[in-house]
Amino acid sequence: MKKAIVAACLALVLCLPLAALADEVKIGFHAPLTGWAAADGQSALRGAQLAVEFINADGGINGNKVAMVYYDDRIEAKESVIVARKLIESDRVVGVVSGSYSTPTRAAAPIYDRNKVPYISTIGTHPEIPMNRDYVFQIAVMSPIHGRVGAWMAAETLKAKSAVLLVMDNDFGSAVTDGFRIMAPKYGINILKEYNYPLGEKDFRSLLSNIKNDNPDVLWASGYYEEAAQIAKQAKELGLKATIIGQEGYDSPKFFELAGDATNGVVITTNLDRGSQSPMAQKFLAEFFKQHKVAADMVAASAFDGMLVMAHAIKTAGTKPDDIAKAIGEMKNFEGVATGPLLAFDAQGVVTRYIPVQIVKDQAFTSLTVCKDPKLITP
Amino acid sequence: MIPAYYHTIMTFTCINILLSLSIGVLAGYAGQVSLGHAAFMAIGAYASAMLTVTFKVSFWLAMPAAALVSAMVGLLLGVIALRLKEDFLAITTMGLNFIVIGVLLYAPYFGKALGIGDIPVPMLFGEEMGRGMYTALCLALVAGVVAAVWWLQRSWIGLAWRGIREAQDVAQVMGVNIAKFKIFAFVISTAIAGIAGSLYAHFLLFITPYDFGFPLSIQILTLAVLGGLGAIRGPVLGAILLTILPEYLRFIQDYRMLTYGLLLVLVMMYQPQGLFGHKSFLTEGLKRLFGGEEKIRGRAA
Amino acid sequence: MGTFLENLVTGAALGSIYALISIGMTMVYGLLKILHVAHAGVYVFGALLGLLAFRLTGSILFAFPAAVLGCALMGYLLYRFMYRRVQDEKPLIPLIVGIGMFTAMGDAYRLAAGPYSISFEHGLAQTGIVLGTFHISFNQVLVIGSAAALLVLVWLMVNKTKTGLAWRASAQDREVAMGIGVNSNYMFGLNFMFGSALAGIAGVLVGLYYGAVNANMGEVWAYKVFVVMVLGGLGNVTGTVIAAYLLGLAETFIISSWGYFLPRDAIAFICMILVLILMPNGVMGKRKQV
Repeated sequence: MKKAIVAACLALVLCLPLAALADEVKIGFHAPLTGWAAADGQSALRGAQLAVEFINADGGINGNKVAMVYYDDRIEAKESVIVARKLIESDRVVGVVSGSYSTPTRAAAPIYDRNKVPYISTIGTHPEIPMNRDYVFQIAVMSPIHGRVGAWMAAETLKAKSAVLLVMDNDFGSAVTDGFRIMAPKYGINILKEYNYPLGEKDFRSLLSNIKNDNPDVLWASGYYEEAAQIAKQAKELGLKATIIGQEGYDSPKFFELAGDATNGVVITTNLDRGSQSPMAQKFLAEFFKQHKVAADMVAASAFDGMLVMAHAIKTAGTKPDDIAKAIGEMKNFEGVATGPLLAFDAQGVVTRYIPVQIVKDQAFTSLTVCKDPKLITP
Repeated sequence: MIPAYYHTIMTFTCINILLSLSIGVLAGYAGQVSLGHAAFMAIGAYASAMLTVTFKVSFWLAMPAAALVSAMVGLLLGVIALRLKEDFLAITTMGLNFIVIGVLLYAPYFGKALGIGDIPVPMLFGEEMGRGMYTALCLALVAGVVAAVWWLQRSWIGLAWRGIREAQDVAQVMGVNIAKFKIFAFVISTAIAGIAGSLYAHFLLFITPYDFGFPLSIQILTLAVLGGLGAIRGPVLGAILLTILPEYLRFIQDYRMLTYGLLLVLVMMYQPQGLFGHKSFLTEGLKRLFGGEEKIRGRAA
Repeated sequence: MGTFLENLVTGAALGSIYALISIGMTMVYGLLKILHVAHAGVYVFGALLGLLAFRLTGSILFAFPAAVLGCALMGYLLYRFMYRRVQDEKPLIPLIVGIGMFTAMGDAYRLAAGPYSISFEHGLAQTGIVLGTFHISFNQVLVIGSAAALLVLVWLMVNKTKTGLAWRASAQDREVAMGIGVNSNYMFGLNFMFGSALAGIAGVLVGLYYGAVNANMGEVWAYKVFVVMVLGGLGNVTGTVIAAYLLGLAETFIISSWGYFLPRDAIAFICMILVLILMPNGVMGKRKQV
């Protein structure tokens, strides 16, 4: 009986359809549509869908429509590997864009690379993702750059002399902090203390009470918007005076929904400049708000850009993997994206770009300054 | 030629069968339930990954070593288990899951939240194993473990285990050293989970502590409970069913934990022996359908 | 000094929440010897119902009765249609059933409310008492005050009412209690309703305290309640309350002094396992049921 069932299962497996439609350019996409990062996953999907709309309204790629095939990676490495195999072997996509965090993107990157499928990480910030991989690119800001720019901005713009670090214990939280820890002393900022906290923590009161005693000028706090909202709110409750410096993890409308007034004055480094004069940025922000009635965040903008970069490369180079990879690698000063010009890709496939710094005023991000110093923004 | 995507599914099915069997051994043959089996998978995966990455040990040595490390922690748990009643033992295993993840995340030796990357693909005859070969290896290991468990069940050890589960006092009177056999069940079970962890690590080539959280333990438990705790047949079929079915019913994916949870509730309330267990409605139905007693004779524990 | 006082208040608020959630589970264990994991699902239900009532009426005063009624009903249904069927089985079976139910509930909430935190802001959160550098927020006063009032109520219920007497009788010996005319099934149902109502209030308080409600907010505490129960001496209500406050304070001061050397849950579980092995009757001992 066992054999019969196994045989039946195998038969089912083999009969799965392997359909592929002609004169459509298939681009794969994955994001965490369920799981704890689902709010970002949804935002990323919306951004990517908007990009496909724009591309097709513009006549598609050399007359062919773009079709996006997307799957949920559940923010799990394992699921991301299954999705990669499926996109490559069942859907036979030309290229793949990741709208997911570092962990799923890092797990999938070697598979795309070995199978020669061009792959763009849009918000996965881990440096290992594109390393030594010819077909993997990263338009996300690499984690330590957030820290470096944060330190520069704290010293130059906020005139801070002392800082306390509040570090989320996952890959993102610790990697962004590395940049700050190295750069801060070079700008004359004295790091008084460093506290760790686990991902998903809700109660920061005991740490914040300590930090109030340390009395720093700025509080460098790595985290995602859920943690950030609690940090901002509880800091205000406890009467902490330090300016909170965050990163792109804060960049979500949820941050304002959860922390309200307490968000005012928080400063973050991100890649989406709300005050940008670039026509594509304006068009993206307006259209996104029109469709979804919420302001676009950096996740949506990044996924949007990832799709556009992939489409642009296919448009200029055709559908051969090597040509696409070459075209992405050779992009210079690419302006047709929402997050400012993509200056260039380095040998590892990581983009260099300006880093906008945003400050919260009346519960919305507004431009504070932009970091263009090549020493800081070069990966 | 089977596309590699199906290799992936088959490999995960094999890993799940091993995990499910591992729960089955513990529950079926020692009357114990582990609610934290993902912890042992994590221990196996990390042991194997660190041996191959940090110490450049061959996969073929690292996998048995991973089983051994996992079994050693299992031995410790087995000793603790002797002091606890079964429901508190269950929550201790659950606690162990949280503790192991916490240690992997915080201790400085295990790559913390970054996990371990660049885990080597196993070498065979001086070449990297292909996906097909790896799937074959997994299938072979499943066959080996099933055979081993079957042999244990047939031998006097299985008799003692069943004795413990059915009637601890009687078994004791009959001269079964309960402590020894309970601990042995823990060792075997956790060794199997360690092997599964090792296979997982060398398949994904990149692991983080978050891969082995408590929800995974619940999923592993569901595989075994659905099939039927105790027999080889139950855990194996449960694992196959719950791994392959969701791949075809993608829409179920979003309701995955809801499904797992409700399955646990319903099976435990109405069919505690599992879908494929002894005298379950499914096996009885199949028996009637095929008319023969001999088709499923002897397998049910 | 300010830091010490702030930590004391933070720890007490945390302890209050632990206590309110744990009482229901402890009472169930005292009576039925069942580890009622689905209790944490009831607590999340309370938070979500409270939020819904708040959104509909615009007043937090309606959030509490909504949560109390909804959770009491849910507690009763869980007993009537789930636990009653398995209450006499081996203890593992109700435990697994409870875990399965909790998992399913968590996912159902996620599908209904979305996978992210939803704001639960009542407008008073940012106000509070300020003495020099020492700040207490309105939220902390609210949590600690309501918990204290409810705990007095629980104490009166258990010690001063006939129902309480019957409850204590059933907890000590079910057969004898039934023999002298206490209807145990009725007691069990009442027990579930009462504990669940408390958990519902705890849910609303936690939602207000953090200004956010999340479908998975029960996950950590579902299992941490075990720790409180074990430390408090299994089924002992007074012990559980003391253990809850001790754990809340200990966590806060440990984190304040040494930071997170392990995640909160791991620390709590290590304590639990040590207590289980070394002091199987709990830190508070088990001289007598309440």
